[in-house]
Amino acid sequence: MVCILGTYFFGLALGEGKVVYASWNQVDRRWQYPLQLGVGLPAIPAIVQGMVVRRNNPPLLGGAMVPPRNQEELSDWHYRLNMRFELGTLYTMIAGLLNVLAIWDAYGGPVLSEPGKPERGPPDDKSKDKDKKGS
Amino acid sequence: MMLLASSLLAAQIWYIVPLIVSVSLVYGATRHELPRPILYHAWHTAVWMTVFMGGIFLVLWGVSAWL
Repeated sequence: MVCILGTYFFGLALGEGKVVYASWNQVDRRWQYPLQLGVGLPAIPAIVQGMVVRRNNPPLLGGAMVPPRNQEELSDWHYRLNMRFELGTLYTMIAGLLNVLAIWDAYGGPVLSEPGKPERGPPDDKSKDKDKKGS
Repeated sequence: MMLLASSLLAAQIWYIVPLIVSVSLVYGATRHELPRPILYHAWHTAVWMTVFMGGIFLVLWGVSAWL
């Protein structure tokens, strides 16, 4: 949990809180958000912010996780944050996907590796009996 | 060679380190339950990922130097 949340909040801090937002319109189809949502509760405020802004209310939490109002604002974020926007998006996406893996682990237990080749050794009793019958 | 050195010293390449650490630890934790096997598996995963991405890096570096 420390790894996943650490990755998520590090990415969020890299992107100054602007890399996680819920938006699906002509301005921006944020396909990364469903992957970020995998992290769970820390990504939920983006949905709330999206709903608040869509109703023309002032954003909550000081404007964190607010979707861009228009293409110019999104371009400004990209210009100002530069590679940190993409890195923050990548970190938060990977955190979400890792949490999905952790949920799967919690549900199904540790994933077992494929069984290796059987070790060489003396044949068991059944195979000895077969050899005797054959001869 | 200067291009390779400058690429290695570039700041953005070091952002991969926390990602490798967290991904390998979480992946190791999905395979085992005890701390020692988790760390052992995480180390192997981290080495595997580093070698794999290093190979891709070298291929891209070679292509960029050739072009």
